[in-house]
This record gives sequence, structure tokens and C-alpha cells, in this order.
Amino acid sequence: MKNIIKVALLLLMAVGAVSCNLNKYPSYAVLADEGFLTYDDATKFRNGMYYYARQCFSGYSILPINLQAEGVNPTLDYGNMYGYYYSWNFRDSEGEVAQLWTYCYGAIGQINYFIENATRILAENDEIVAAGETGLTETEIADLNLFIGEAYCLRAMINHQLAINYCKDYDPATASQDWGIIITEKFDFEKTLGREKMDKTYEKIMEDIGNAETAIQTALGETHRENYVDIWTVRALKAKVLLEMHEYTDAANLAVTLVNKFPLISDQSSFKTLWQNDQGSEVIFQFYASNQEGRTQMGEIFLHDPNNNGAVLNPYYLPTQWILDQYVNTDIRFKTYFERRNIRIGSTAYNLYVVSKYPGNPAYNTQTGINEHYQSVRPFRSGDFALIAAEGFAMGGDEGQANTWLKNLRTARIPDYTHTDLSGEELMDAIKMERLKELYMEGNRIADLKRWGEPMSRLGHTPQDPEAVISESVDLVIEPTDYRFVWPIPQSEYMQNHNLDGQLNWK
Amino acid sequence: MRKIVLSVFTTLLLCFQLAAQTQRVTGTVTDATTGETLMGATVFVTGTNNATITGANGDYTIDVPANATLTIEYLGYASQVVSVAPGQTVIDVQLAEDNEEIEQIVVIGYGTGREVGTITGSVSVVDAQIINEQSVMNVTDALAGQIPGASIMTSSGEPSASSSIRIHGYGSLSAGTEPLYVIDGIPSSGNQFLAINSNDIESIVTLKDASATSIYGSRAANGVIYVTTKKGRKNQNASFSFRGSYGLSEPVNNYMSNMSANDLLLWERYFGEISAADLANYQALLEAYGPTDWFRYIYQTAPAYSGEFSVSGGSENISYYVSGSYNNQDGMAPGSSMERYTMRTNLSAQATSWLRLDLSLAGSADKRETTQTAQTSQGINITSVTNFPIYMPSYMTKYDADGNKYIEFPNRFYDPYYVMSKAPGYGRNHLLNGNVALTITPVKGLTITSRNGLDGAYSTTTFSNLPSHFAYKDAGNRVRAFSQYYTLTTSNTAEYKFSLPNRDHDLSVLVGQEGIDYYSDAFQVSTQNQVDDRLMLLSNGTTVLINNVAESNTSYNMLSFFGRVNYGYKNKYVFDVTLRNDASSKFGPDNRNALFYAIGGMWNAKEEKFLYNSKVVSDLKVRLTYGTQGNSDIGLYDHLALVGADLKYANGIGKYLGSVGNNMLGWETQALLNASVEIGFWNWLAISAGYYHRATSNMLFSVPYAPSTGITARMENVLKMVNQGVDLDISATFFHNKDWNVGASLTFSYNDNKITKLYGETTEIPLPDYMKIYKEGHSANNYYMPIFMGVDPLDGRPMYDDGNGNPVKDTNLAANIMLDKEIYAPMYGGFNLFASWKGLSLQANFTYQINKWLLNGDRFFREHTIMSSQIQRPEYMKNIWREPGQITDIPRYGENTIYSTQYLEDASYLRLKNLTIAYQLPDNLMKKTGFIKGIKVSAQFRNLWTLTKFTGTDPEYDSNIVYGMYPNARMYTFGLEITF
Repeated sequence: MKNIIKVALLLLMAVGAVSCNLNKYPSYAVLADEGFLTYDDATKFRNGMYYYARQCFSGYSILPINLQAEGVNPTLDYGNMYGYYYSWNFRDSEGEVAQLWTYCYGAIGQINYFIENATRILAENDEIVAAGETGLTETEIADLNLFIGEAYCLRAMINHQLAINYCKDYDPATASQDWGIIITEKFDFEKTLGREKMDKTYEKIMEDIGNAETAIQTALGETHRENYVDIWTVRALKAKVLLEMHEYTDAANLAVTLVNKFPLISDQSSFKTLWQNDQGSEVIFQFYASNQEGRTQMGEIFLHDPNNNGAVLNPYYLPTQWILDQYVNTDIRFKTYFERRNIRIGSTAYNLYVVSKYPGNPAYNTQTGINEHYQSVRPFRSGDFALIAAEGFAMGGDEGQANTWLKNLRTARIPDYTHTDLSGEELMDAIKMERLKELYMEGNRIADLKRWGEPMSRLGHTPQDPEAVISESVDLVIEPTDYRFVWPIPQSEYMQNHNLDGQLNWK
Repeated sequence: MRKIVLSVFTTLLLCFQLAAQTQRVTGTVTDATTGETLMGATVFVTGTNNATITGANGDYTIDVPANATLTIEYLGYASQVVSVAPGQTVIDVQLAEDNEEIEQIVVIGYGTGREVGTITGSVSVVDAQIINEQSVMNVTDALAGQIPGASIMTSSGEPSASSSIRIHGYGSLSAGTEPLYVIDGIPSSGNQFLAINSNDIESIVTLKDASATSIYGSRAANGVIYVTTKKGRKNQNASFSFRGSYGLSEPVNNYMSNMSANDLLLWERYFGEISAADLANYQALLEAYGPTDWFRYIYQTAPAYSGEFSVSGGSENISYYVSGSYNNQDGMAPGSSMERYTMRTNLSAQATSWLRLDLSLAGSADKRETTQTAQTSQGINITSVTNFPIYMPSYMTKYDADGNKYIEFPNRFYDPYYVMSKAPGYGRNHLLNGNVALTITPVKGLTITSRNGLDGAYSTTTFSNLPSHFAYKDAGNRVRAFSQYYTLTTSNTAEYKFSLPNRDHDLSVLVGQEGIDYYSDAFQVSTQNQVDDRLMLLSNGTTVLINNVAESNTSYNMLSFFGRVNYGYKNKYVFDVTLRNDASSKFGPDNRNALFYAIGGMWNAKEEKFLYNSKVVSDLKVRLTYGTQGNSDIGLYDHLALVGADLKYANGIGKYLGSVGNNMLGWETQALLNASVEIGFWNWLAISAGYYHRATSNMLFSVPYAPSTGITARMENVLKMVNQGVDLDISATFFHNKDWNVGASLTFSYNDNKITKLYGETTEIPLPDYMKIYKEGHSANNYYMPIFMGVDPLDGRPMYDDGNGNPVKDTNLAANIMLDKEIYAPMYGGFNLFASWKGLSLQANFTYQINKWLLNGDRFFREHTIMSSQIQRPEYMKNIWREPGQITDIPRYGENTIYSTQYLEDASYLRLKNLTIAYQLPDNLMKKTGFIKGIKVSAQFRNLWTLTKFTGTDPEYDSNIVYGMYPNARMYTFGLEITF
């Protein structure tokens, strides 16, 4: 009997041995209540905010919309890579359409969370100091205010990115009736909102720009930082927004200060360095990138190299003969953007021009000797702004200044360029063509056509070799009134957000 | 009540008074069918160690206390209990073979075994023979069609593939749908189940209804599969058994239509997929080498072999079962194989008269190679091994014009043999599963058990891209991943069983507690720039990128208390009540505890006077149970709002709000009603029919959020869903005598699924990306997609239903429409035929799924003229629309066709899953050898024959869309078994 008791005791011990701790926490994350309490947390959340913002401007936000435009032919081997965009067959459930939207609003959620918590830390600090205790240092307070300013700038950039892709062109006459974007200023996942009208959307973007300007000017003055938002980033964004709002002269004047600060490159090798190494005087703002983070694959579709030895390429897209014909041979852009290479399509060999604008930054490769075709994410460079200046002045009625800036850009890009002043429609046509040539495959084209109310037309654009490319959509013309000119509100949004009933672009 | 108590008391007194009196009993044990005497049968006084073994003529002698009962056991026969009447001195016993209609003892969750016939819930017992006969690594596949109510499918022919199993439909949409596996009394996992050597399995019992499953509480919502492994028997001479088998695999039928090489070339040239120069090149190569059958190139006949041994036996106080096995199966496709070792020890020691110790310990080690999985984003993944044989055009030759073997073909496909040899990868798994149990019987009828289990695994994977791979330019890379987990389970129970003579009153009471402690961790590292194929260790690389380093760990705890009362009256009426309380760390503190219960009743009408002597009705039982279970199979930290810190910006750590959490997150609860009738006629026909109603509420669901809110989904307890249906199980023995045994059995199940409530104001959740819609009042399994309305003969464009029955051609205007066709077949089951004559036996197991629909993704890509080019096309693509007025179903070239009913096919099937022919050499021949007890040779055929309308590789694919499937294997296996 004694033994039985002993064993029974053993059993009881076994019962007790089981840990009964029912509060289990992961080791990959901390509880949200404990995650954003200090100045130090804020510096880390600021990094997170830049990380999310960077996602909103990387390759996939540029590539599909590039291929909607003119200037490329898919090869027989393209495997329908971005084919739905090239042929304008994309649907509102398409991955890229949903992804850009989801990334943008995900980033805005994180930015709002940052602004709320950083502001709370500052407010709590006021109470701590008022109670006579030691609070944050002066530098820390200044930093927090600067970070909040950066947050406003990033939010404005992302809202602008959404407006460019998912809204009609801003027209002051109809802005109070046209649908803009959903504006969220607080992180509240339980609340869905409808779209604001276009005027309110741009008002909010300008409001964020104003807040960012004040905070950043106070903290940094005119200091330039390439990988973090500074006053120049805010101005670049503002110039673009003003141009869309038809505030032409203001846009142009702001653009001029930017080009003066970030001079145009005029020699071949520096221009190549800009595209290959993501370095140069024209860089206004680009997100940080290395081979460990933040790189975006841009050139793969143009330079696919199955053997990784550079000998024979097998591209998915080739430049059209028509776009090649728009450049003079001496143009440093022509020599940088295009290159004649040995390629193979199917079992057949060719020697044709390929798009070499995104040749792959060697510093971003992870494997020795293999070009992975990655570049930095670069929202603003001054070449764009020289032409914004030209367009702004032309539209604002100052044809003299418009000619000056068209000339400035062409002089930088084309050796021995001599300028003949243009006027009226001829001037605007020249500026438009220059934007196409300067910003080829930089993701601006569809927004530009929208702004000008012009069709996307591939009519008469001959390929380099019709045998190497598909004939589908080769002569496609999309009128500016076509509903597809605006990306659709993604299915994933409108299925869950009934505030959008009747506010969709497509249905 | 007082009377009962009194009678209990007097009975106990009687027992004590008579304990000292004994009588000597002699007798002979014979085979009930053949009348042959059985040597080596164990005869023992029930509940004691007093035992003896029958001699050469089946005779025995034993001293028996008065009023005791004798138990007679013999391997391969049903044990029998006989009561010894006072003064009785001769008891001859006839034992029936196991496969006859006799009561089986099953353990159904904590506590000692019970006869199947006295359980209030319906349980399905799979005959061990069916599993043991089949030499397969995937035991679940062998169960297909065997368990009424369980749908089992195998979606891949990889040697290491596992199968999906669903009992009574899908009970959950976001949480797990796998049943709970209990191995020798310890709740375990599916991977441990798959690691069991099929010949070690004594029985597999499927628990489907409330009274049987509720005692497993929050993990039992999808049913319970209770596995018992073989044990030795006391007082039995060691029995040795050796088995060996050799087999060959080839793919099951390929139903795909293919255009001939020459026609395809001309077709592609006509539509400009290839240039004129390409056409000439390919035609020249075709002329030189002829067309290629790429399906045969990839899927080649592959061998499999296995060897096993087992020893079992026992002495007076110890019994043992020890086994080991080795299996090796080559895949049909390059880079796929599996090799496995298992071993098992089951020991039982009667330490003292009141204490028994049991050890059950199993280990396994395996190595598996799998082909890369087929994925698609835009178009097909052309480097996937399994896509290759489906999409590679037959005009492509293995060699180029110079006679060199292609590595990268002109249409960008890579040779899978090259890829698998230059990018080798494999996984190794080491599994340990065991438990130690102490069982104390301090007084008669009371059993206290402490069962302590350890379930753990250690897995690694190794993957390399060799520097000699042409695309890696002498800079290889290596990825290693390690992961491990353990689950410690302790379950402590006390059970009191009490019976009055003649079983007028049977009472058993069980109380228990269970604690679970789970921990897992994993890490993964990769390094780059290895330069030599032979030196591929991580340390041979030169670079480590931080993005290629990962570590994680997780843990959870669960604490439960439970109890069960079971009462039987005269073996006619049985009632039971079950209660269980679970608390788990997976749920929010506001919703952490849950109470589950069940009640059940059984009426054994055969015991009633009006049927007792019926010659026609040999069995009639009616069962009714109701109860609740839960489902807690979700992420471990879903309830927590969390901040992560694994982002990077400019080399600095980035924090972010990772999840918003949900404090109220709790169990998914299920209310389950079962009613069943079991009826037997003339002792040779048994029919069992059951109805179930399975209502899931507070369903764990990842509720989609509009991205503009900042999040895209959150886990919540929202939906309600009902699965209801019937199970039918008929078995018949047509002919049975000394030499012959012929019979058949059939299972049929019907399941009807319905969403009864969504959340808030929402009445439907369309998920067009998954071709699904969750809509109140409708099945969650219905397809939801545009309806194809044919091709307009005027312009060749495809037309789709706009939602009002009108054709539209703009795919953006095509409406997604809920169809009456389900992803998961509502009707399924199987049937078995068996026949034996003397030592020769034949067994055929069929499985079927009726009204199963599957989107044929391979057809979609093979017929698509935008997404795909320079690939193999079906013969009927010649009918593509070319000119106005042409009536055809194939749209003109370059039309953007979308997933629609155009590709939705009836994938119902009937498959001969297994056909076994075996021959057991005659006993008298064996006796002459003096030491060999038995020799059995067998031939086994798996997936030998299939009937289906599906036009893809294999209809047995358990998902909504299939492409690039690794088809199931048709296997021919020959085996030899020798017993000493």
C-alpha cells in the first residue's frame, strides 16, 4: 500500500510538472503596447517608414505603366511578361494594380501610426517636463519634429503616387466633381472611407507638403541629404503637384531652383554613371539601396541574359525602330539608353538595339560575376524638372523662359546643339517629344499623356525586326477618353469597402 | 438504487468467500472453421497472471478459482472469454479467425478498451490487414475508400507525398482541417502518423461523432484518427517475421491531347510564334532526330524496394514487439526519391500485481528529394520539372544541329535532368515518437494511468546551386535549413469500471487531466560564391547576405481537464456523458477557456426479446450522440498586436506595426449531432447507416480588410457553417467455408456544405482570386467564375455571361458567377472485393469521388495564345477560329481568355487503388520444415485502373486548379513474407 501511495505521488508530480503558463509571446516581435514608447523607438520606426515608402516607388510601380506606353515591342520569347499592360488587357484583379494600391495604403498606415505615436511622445514629454522631471534632450525633440516632417512629405509623395495612377487628370474646372483618392490621416483599421473629390485630394497633398516644408526647413534649412527626405525633396514633389494643378508658373519657378541646385549632366560618361551606378549631380532624392536592401530590378526585361556572360541576350522587350529614330546619333541619351547587341529570339540570332538604360548597378549584385540588373529607387532627378520648367513656362505664357529650359536640357544632352526658338503648339510639341525622349521608360509617360489629353498611339511605329517581335497590339491606339487610361480601383478594395459603391473608375 | 448497492455488496462478499476455492479445468482449443487443433494458444484466468499454453494437440490444463472466467488468445484469432461454471472440468474452445464478425476491442480516448458494440458513438475500424498488406510509405493513401465519411486524396506522385484527409467535409475555412492523430494514446501529429511503418499498425480507428471526439476537446473538430500499434502477447514464444518487396512505378494515364510535331510547327509559324528562320531550324532538327515524347522523357519507370522484420512474444510478466524496416522508392521524375528507416519497440511489463509499465517507442529517419513545385504568376514556370513534360513541344529535339544535348532549349525551357543535377536539394527528417505509461490497479476495477508522451522531430534541408551550372558562372550557392520541434504531453487519468454479473449494470467513470507543452525553432542560412562542385559547404562560400539568414521559434501550452461517465444496462442500453475544459495560449486572454461536452445513447435492439432469437436479424443497434468540439489550429500568436523589427533602411533596423491582433480571438466551436443504425442479417450481411449534422460557429476566419484601412486581413471568430450528410457502410460475406471466403464491402458518403452566417451586415465574401465565394445559404465549395458562352463566329472573340445571361466580350465586364459545381466532391467512398481459396487470396480496393470539379489549368495555359507561346498545344487547337462564320470553341489567336467554365472539368473518378493477390503456402508443408511457420508471396498493384472524364494528367488532385501535376504512380510490387 505504501508503494501505491508513492506511485500516486509520482503521478501528481507529473501533473504539476507541466508548465501551465498560458501567456506565450513570440520572439520575432514585441507587444504593440511596448513597441513605440521612446525616442529610440521613434528612430527605428522612422526607418520602417522609409522602408514602406520605398516599396511604393520601386520597379513594379514603373514597369507595367511603362509598357502600356509606346516605344517597345515584346519579343516572341516574352512569355506574356507584363503582357496585359502592353496590350491594355489588364483587369481590376491584376496583381500589379492591387499591389501598388496595397503597398501605398500599407505605407500610409505605417506613416500615420508613426505620426500619432511620435506626436504622443512629444506631448508626454511636455507633461514630464511640466512635472519637473528630466525629459528628452533638445536634439531629440528637434529630431522628432524633423521625423514628423519627413513623415508628412512621404505621405504626400505616396498620396500623389496614388492620384497619378488611380485618378483622372486634375482639371481645375471639374476637380470638385472628379473622384480623387481615399485620404486616411489616422491609423484606424476598423474604419473604411470613401474617395475624396479631386480638389480635396490635392488640398490634402498640399497641406502635407506645407507641414513638411515648415518642419524640415526648421530642422535642416537647405541642407541636402540624398537618402532621406530634405527640403529639396519637398520642393520637387511640390513642383510636380503644382504642374498638375495647372499652377504653371509656380511649378516652373520651383523647378528652376531644383535644376540650379542639381545641375544637368552634359558628358557621356557621367550620364552613364547616373544610370549604371545611380550616382550623379542630377539625383535629387533616391531611396537607399545596397545589395542587401532596397534595390529594384529594372533592366531584366530588356537585358535578360540566360547564360549570365553578356555574350548573347534574350530580351523580353525591344525598343521600337520608331523611338530609336527620334534621337540624333550624338545624343548622350541615345548612347546610354540604347545599345546594339547580339541577341537570340527562339532559335534565331539577331543583332539589334536593346534598352540599356537600366544596365544593373554592379554594387547591387549578390553573386560574383552575375549581373542581376538592379538599380536604386529614384523618385526625383533634375532632368525631369528642366522639362517641368519648360512646360510650366510655356503653359504659363512665358515662351522665352520655356525655350531657355528646352534649350538648357538639349544643350546638356546633345553635343553642339544649336537652338532655334519655337512658339505656340510647335513649342509644346517639342517639349512633349523631349519629355518622351528624356524620360523614356521612367514611368511618366501615361501620366503625361493624361495631363495633355493625348492618346497613346503606336500607329506607324515600326519594330526593328518584325520577325523577332509579336504583332499583337503593335498598332494599338488608346484614346484619352478610354476608361483604361486610369487604373481601376482594385477588386480587393472595393469588395470590402462599400463606401466606394458608385465611385469606381471602371464599373 | 438501494437494491443495486446491496447486490454490489453481496457480490463482493461472495467473491471474497470463494476466493480460496479452485477447480482444475482441461480442454482443447480448435479452429472454429477447420476444426484443426491450435498449438500455442494462451489460456489464462481473466484479470490474473494465472496462464498456460496449449500443447501440440491444442490441449491445456489450468487451475481456476470458482466463478472465474477464462480468456483464450491466439495470434490471428479473436480472443474468447468463457465463464467456468462451478464443477465444470472440461471446456473445449473453438476460436474464430479475426476477420469474422466478432466484437473488437477499441480504445477511444483515455481509458481502457471497450467493445465496439458498446460504444454510443459510431467508430470505424479499419482492418489492419488492409494496411499491412500494402507496402506503401504513405499509409493515408492506403486508407482511401476504407473509412466511411473520410475523403482521402493524393495530389502528387512524389514518393514523399502525403495525402489530404477530410472527415465529413471541410469544417473550417481558415483554421486547420486535418483530423487529430492519436498514436497509442498520445495526441500526436500527421507527420508522426506517416512515419509509422504500415506493418506495425494493429488498428486504425476513426472517431467521427461527438461522444467519441469531445473528450479531445479543442482539437477534435475534424475527427480523430486513433492508431494502435502492435503489441506482443504474454506467454507466447517469440515469433519472427521477415518481409521483402520489390516494385516498379510508372505514371497513371496521361489523358492529354497533343498536336503532332510537324503540325505544331506549322501552326506556330502561321500565328507568328516562331520566325521563318526558326521554322527552318526546327524542321531540319526534326528531320535529323525525329519528334520527342517529353512525357516519357521525364517520367520513367522507377524501382522501389523494402525490407522489414519484426519479433514479438512474451513471458509471464513481459511482452514485447520489436520491428525495423527500410524503404527505398525512386521517383519517376528526375530529382525525386524517398528513403526511410523505421524502428519500433513496444514493451509491457507487469511489475507488480497492481502496477504495469508500458513503453512504446518509435524512431524514423528519412531522406527525401522532391522536384521543384510548379508555380505560376504570369504564365507557367518553365524551369519546373513537372511543367516540362506538359508544355515542352514535341518538335523540340534533345540535340542541337551540332549534336550537342540542349541544356537550355531555344524556347527557354531548361532540361530538368540538368537542373536537378546542378541544383541538387534534399531534406532529412528524424522523428521520435514514444510514450511511457504507468498503470496502477490499486483495487479491482480502478485503473489509474499516467501516460507521458514525447513527440519530436528534427529536420534539415540542403540545397545547392553548383558552380558548374552554366547560369552561375563558377559562383555557386548553398542553403541549409534546420528545424525542430517537440511536444510533451502528459495525460493522467483514473477510471473506475464496475459490472454486475450478467452485465445487468455496467458503469465506468473516467476523470483526467492533460497538459501539452509545444516548442519549435528553426534557422536557415545561405552562403554564396562556392567555386568547386565538390566543396559546397556553407564555409566554402565567401559571402553571407543578412536577408539570407533567418531564425524563428514558437511555443504554446495547453491545459485541460476532462471526465466521462458511461453506463450500460443489460447490454441493451448504453449512455455516456463527456466533459472537457481546455485553456490554450493561442487565444486572447479574454477568451481563453472553453468547455466542451457530449451526451450519447445506444440501444442494442438485438438483445431485446423480440429479436433475440431472430434468425434473420443478426444485429440491430441504434445510436444517437450530440456534443461540442473545438478547432484551435491557427497561428500561435494571432491574437496579439505586435511590433516587428526586421526591416532595414540604410543599414538601420526598421520597426513597424506587424499585426493589430484580436483580444477576443477564441475557439472555433462545433456542435455535432450523429444518428446511426447498424443492422445485420443472417450473420453475413451488415449494413450501417449514419446521419451527421456538423455546425461550426465562431469560425476562425482571416477576414479580408480593404487595403485602404492599412491592413489586408485579420483573424476573427465570425462565420457559421454547416456540414451534414450520410455515411453508408455495407459489408457482406457471400460464401464462407473451410476453403472459401468470398465477400465485398462498400462505403458511400454524401456531404452537403452550407455557409449559414457571415459577419456583420456582410452577406457574401467574394474571393474571385480563389474562384470562391462565401455566401449565406450556399456551399463554401462552389466555384465562382465567369461562364464561358462560346466563341462569336463573326469575330472569333470569346463571350462570357455578363451576370444577366447576355454575352459580353470585354473580359472586364464578364461577371463572376457562383456555380453549382463544387471543388470537393459531395459524394465519395470506396468498395472492396475479397476472395480466398485455401491459401490463395485476392483483394481489390476501389475508391471513387462523384461530382468533383477541377479547373484544368494545364488546358488554360496550353490553349492560351497570349500567355503562352512556343509550347505544346492540344490537337484540337487546329480548330482555332480563323475566319468569319467559323463555328468553333477555340477563340481567335491573341484573345485574352480568362479562367472560366471553359476549363472547368468533371474530375469525378473511380480508381482501383489497390489489387493484391497473395498466396500463403499450406500449413502442412510448413510443418514439415519444422521451424518455418508460414511463407506468403504476394503481388500488389496500385492505381492500376482509373475511370474518369477528366482530360488532365490525373483527376486525383485535391484543390481548385491543377497545372504541372506530378501524376500519381501506378505501382507493381512483389513481396515475400516468412514467419518463424
